[in-house]
Amino acid sequence: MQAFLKTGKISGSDKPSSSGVKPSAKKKPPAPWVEKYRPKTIDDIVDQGEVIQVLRECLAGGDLPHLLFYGPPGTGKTSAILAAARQLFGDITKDRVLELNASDERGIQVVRDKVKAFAQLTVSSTRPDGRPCPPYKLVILDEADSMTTAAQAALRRTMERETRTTRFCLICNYVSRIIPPITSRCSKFRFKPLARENVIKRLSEICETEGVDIGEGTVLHQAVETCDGDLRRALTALQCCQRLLGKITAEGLIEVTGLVPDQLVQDYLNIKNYTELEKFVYSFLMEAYSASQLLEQLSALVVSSGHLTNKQKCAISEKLAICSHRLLDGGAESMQLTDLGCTIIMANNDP
Amino acid sequence: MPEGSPDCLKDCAFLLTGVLDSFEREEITDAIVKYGGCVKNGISKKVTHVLAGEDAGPVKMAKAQELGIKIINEDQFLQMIRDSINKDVPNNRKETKDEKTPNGKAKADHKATKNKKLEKSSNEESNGKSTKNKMKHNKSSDKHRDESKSPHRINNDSIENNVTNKEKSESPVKTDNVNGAVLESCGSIESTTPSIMWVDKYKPQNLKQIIGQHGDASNVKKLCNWLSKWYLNRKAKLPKPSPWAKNDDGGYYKAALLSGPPGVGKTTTVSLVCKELGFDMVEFNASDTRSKTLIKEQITELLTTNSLSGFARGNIGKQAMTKKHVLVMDEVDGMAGNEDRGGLQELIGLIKSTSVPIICMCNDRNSQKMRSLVNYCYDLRFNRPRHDQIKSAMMSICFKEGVKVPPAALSQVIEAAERDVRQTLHLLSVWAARPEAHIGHKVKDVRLGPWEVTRKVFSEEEHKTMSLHDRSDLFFYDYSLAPLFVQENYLQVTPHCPKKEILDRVSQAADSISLGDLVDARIRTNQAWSLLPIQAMYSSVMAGQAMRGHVSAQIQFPAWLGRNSRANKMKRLCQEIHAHTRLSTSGSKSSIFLDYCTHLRDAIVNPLIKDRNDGIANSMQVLESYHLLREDLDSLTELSLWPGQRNPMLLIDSKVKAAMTRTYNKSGTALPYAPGTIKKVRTKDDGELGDELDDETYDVDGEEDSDPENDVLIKKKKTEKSAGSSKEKSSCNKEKACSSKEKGNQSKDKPSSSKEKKNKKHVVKKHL
Amino acid sequence: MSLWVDKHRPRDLMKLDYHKDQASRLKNLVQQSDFPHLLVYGPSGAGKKTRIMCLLRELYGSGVERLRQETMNFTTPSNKKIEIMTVSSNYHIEVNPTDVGIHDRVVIMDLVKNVAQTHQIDSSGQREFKVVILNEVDDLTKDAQHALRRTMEKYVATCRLILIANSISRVIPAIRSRCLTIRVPAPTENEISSVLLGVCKKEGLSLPTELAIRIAKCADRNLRRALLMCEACKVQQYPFTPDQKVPEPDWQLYIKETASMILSEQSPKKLGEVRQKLYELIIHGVPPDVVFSGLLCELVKNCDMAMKCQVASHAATYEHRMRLGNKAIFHLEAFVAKFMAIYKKFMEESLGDVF
Repeated sequence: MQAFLKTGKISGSDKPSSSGVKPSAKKKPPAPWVEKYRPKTIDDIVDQGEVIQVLRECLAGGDLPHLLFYGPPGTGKTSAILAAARQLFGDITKDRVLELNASDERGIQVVRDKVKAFAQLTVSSTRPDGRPCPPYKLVILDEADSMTTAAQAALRRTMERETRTTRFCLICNYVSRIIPPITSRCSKFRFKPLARENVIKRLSEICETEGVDIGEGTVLHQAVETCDGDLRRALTALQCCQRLLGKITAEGLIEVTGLVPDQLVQDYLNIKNYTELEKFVYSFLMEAYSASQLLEQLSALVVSSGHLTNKQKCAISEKLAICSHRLLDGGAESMQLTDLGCTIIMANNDP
Repeated sequence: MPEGSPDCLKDCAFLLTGVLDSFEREEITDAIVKYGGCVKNGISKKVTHVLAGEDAGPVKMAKAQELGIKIINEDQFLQMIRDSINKDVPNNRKETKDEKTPNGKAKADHKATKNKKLEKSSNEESNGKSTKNKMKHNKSSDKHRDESKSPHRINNDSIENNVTNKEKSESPVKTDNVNGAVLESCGSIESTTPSIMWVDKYKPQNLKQIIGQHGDASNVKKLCNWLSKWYLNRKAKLPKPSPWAKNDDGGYYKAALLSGPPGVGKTTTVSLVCKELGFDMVEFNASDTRSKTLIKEQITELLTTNSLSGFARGNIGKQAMTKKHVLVMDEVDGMAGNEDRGGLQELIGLIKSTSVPIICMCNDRNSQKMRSLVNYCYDLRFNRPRHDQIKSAMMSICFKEGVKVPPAALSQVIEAAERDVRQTLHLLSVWAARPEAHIGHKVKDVRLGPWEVTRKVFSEEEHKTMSLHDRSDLFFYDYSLAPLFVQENYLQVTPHCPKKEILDRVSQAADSISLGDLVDARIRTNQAWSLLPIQAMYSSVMAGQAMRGHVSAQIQFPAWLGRNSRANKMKRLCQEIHAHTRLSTSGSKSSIFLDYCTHLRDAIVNPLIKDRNDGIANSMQVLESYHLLREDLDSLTELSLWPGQRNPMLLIDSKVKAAMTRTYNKSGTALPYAPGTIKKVRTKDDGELGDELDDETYDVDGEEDSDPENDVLIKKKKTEKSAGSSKEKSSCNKEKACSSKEKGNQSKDKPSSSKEKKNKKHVVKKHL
Repeated sequence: MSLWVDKHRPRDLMKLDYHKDQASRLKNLVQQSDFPHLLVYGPSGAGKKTRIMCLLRELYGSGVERLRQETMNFTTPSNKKIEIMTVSSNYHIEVNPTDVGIHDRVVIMDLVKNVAQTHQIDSSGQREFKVVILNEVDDLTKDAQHALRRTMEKYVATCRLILIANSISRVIPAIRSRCLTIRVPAPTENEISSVLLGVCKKEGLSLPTELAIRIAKCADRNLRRALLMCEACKVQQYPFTPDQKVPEPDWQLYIKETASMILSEQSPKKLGEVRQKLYELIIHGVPPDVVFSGLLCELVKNCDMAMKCQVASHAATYEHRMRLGNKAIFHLEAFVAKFMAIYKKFMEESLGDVF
């Protein structure tokens, strides 16, 4: 059931049970929307036509290859495999699926002991009630790109040897971080970023079910924009906003996602001299915005902005990379922003 | 297992005894059978060879000697097999009886078994017992040789002598004529290889050879006396000897404490004395855990048991049984820490009740830890040998090793080692290994203080003669201090460069030092000690290169250490204050540093300065409302005081200060929660009643405050504490009276009573 | 008699002096059936803690203000015993995990586990969860932050976390996405001055508006500092005059002094003297990054643009190194040395131009 503990947990929900076996007898706080509206079957998954097609055929045959899902966050990778698992195993999912994600210990020791032991169990091809079911188990390794190389290496032989009884499904954002011996053992599926209109459609469906007033469609548009097509993030943001404000507004969305208002980013890019810069940095930090967020947004803005020459873009982007590295190491925000600001000023003065 | 010619052991009957060091018994048996020999189980006249290993059975050995059977060790056995191939003639019984064939010995001994022997002999060095064991074997075989009178035998002997003589040119080996030497190799029987440490090679073999311990008044003599009379003293005197027995020979004491600097021969002395007097040494040193229970169980057991090692060595009959032991506790000053807790106390207990002599050794007799022990020990202090004593001994060793050392250089080495004999020997042997090394230079490098190192790092002249490698070596004289020294002193250097560049150079140096610190941090967090050479480059070499010139001022000891510890102290004080004020302030630690402390200090101190005695109440109120202790005021002042500022505490009249302290100490009755304050506190914050004394978990019990258990607890505490002094009791009583009075005044009864309790505890605490 | 800053702390959400709509949102939040984990961030002296205490009061009533201090003991995996001081009421517990340095992970795991496993016995209590407040989350080690993420999921049924940070740049995204983030911007100068005026009124003093504004300006938008300074002003001179001297914090003066020393002369000898000053700053607990930005701010004042850029970039580099290194002084000094080298050259060149 770890599956239902992950991702964007904002609320104090108890573990919602997948098949609804546990009646919600106790008064339970409402579940986060991301869990509540997780697709129940693979057909519910937004977009991803081809992948779903393949998965559906696999399910129809009752067999699965080893799987490797990759793609940007919030595109339905985890949902897809969970839905597939549920369709395959029904109410014995609990016994047949081992899910490990980055928040579980996944060092080489765990792979060697826990995963291997689980993989080595044999299971029957019938359910307790006599109906047939696939004679294998499923190991889902979520966020596999954060596993160490050693742990991945320890996995490869297990994957091969236990094919008879176990299928593996690895999920990651960057396929390049998975070692080649593993990728070559799996059928790879790329989850492409979701189309905006589909995301909006899904969001408005959910909002309708929740009875949330979203006004015209613009708010949802903005939610999608601010969250870069990441459905989960958008949904989480919507729920936060709903909680905090009681309604969903554009400003509320920016607030809960911790975004820096676009105007500020623009200002930063247009700074002309040092005094201005000092003032900007000071007030920016006093407003408690996050510098790393600013850099992220700035990077997008710089790349797409029309009025900068390529040379300027180069200069700024280079410094931007350095500064965001330093920020990641814990450097003081004011220093790094000043440094980057200086580069921007110099670049602006020297087209 | 070497290859031999088939049937080479024909006609031989072996008896195996003891543990062989490189083979299992089965393997040896197989080999013997393979080469046509046979293996017997009991000793009889049919047995031709006894193959003895470690801890051979003494009865068997004795019988074998009686019957005149040849006793061989494992190597000799292997040699027999090997030799059979060299000599195509199959061995007949008589020849095999003669231990070895000369040719084979000369060649193979050097080539094939060298390594094995080396290991073995080094094992034996550390293990006195087995060495003796070996000697015994040899004696017996010598005896055996003498007995055999075949011409062959004589021939054999002479060749062997040649061999040993040859070997002697490399290093002195056991033969009778070396006896006169001051120092002698102990494992010499086997140790023909040059790779034994000199220290072990030239370990004194008898008491006379110990440097600087001649004469009647020497420690060695005293120890000998003491030890030999030990049992006498115990038996002769009454069980409890009267104090007058504290004579010069320490007869009263059951234990001796040898103290002295390292390398003067304490351990050697003890082991030799024991050997000489026929005592059996049971040694514990820092490598053994010596906690209380361990000493109690293991040693006590050991001492009450009779040693069987006499048998193992082949001593016969009574001699083996009468062996006495002596317990040697080496490095007693190293008994410390968690592992050895209570060890010393137990040792003292042991000394009191012991039935065997105990010898303790330590480096620093005056250290705190030894203080209790010295009262129970016969005190023997070892001093460093005189310079000329060491020198003459060293000269003779050098002569034997064939190393030429100029006397002046030798003196320098000895001084550099601070007259530590062991250290001197090490240095010499290093030198001998690289005779081509520039002597004067080498000796000078022997010991450099960090000051000297730092000077070298920056000195341009020195750089001329040094390779990059040498310069990075400078860092390793003390890699933890070196970067600090460099950082402290690089500004004192006048770089040899145009004036314009000086600042550039300085900044280069500073830059590389800062990079060096990054490497240092990485090393320490990741235990990546392999990065040290890189740190050496950044922290020392590059900085030195940038600033090359000459040091224009005295080299300073790094201030960083002192500053750092001060910074840590400040941090601790601040954390304390933060903890105390936590209930009423909201800031983090750094906000205490940056914002609060000046103002808080002023709030307390200003009334004292301005209103003098009348201000005391005010300051006390501040103290109370922030739950600060009197000591915290001092910390606050320290925290907020910047150099160049006047300490505001000095402005306070000392009388006022004293009065305030008094008031504070009197606390409870005089000031706290004077009705006005209580009211204010309550209206402001009903619950801020927590106790600033962190160790007391004061339970604010919500609504049910008059919880009996609570009362009981407090009372118990109080009585416990007040039992200590009557003064407290009176203050408590006063407290009670006061609290009852206050209770009347107060509208809210319960919280206030809880407050009172708290106060009471507070008072008690303060009195303590 | 507390200082004003503690005496006049608002205790009710609705009585907060600024960010009022945020306060009402928080009130809304409390009234909803579920309460998420919170991540409250904002600069020092912006009122994070005050808001949290108000929020708790809203959640649990005034019982939450009966505070007590306790020491908790933990044992690290390496068997080291550590102690940490906690402040708690019956409903919440507050710790500074950074007090124990690198062992913060153990504290977080064990503490939250402890709290989570003790259920609220009092069934009449309005809430079925306790609150754990963690201070200075941005200074936690990465290890501890990851542990936190696991803990947040695991014990969500019985406890809620309120995390306090100065900036969320150093909080890992996984935590950010699990919390409702609440940004507390520092009060503006106007807001500060109105608070000052209000406090003085409560104290029965009359504060000239000009002085209030000047204090607010000096206080770096830090309300705590402003209140403390205002009180110091009162001690110094009362009745207030609009043009009276506002005492700046000593450490700021000291940094300025240091900077002017650097500007006055550039030589190794001066650098040695500056080193002593820097040591003094560090000893007095001024965070080295504050020293860095203070110096930078002062030093660039009479540089031209190109040089400002250079200096800023060096400052950023050395500040970053200082984070990674052990000994702050090395990097501060390296920065000063670099600045001296650049500045000297700059001065010589500009002088050369003149002649």
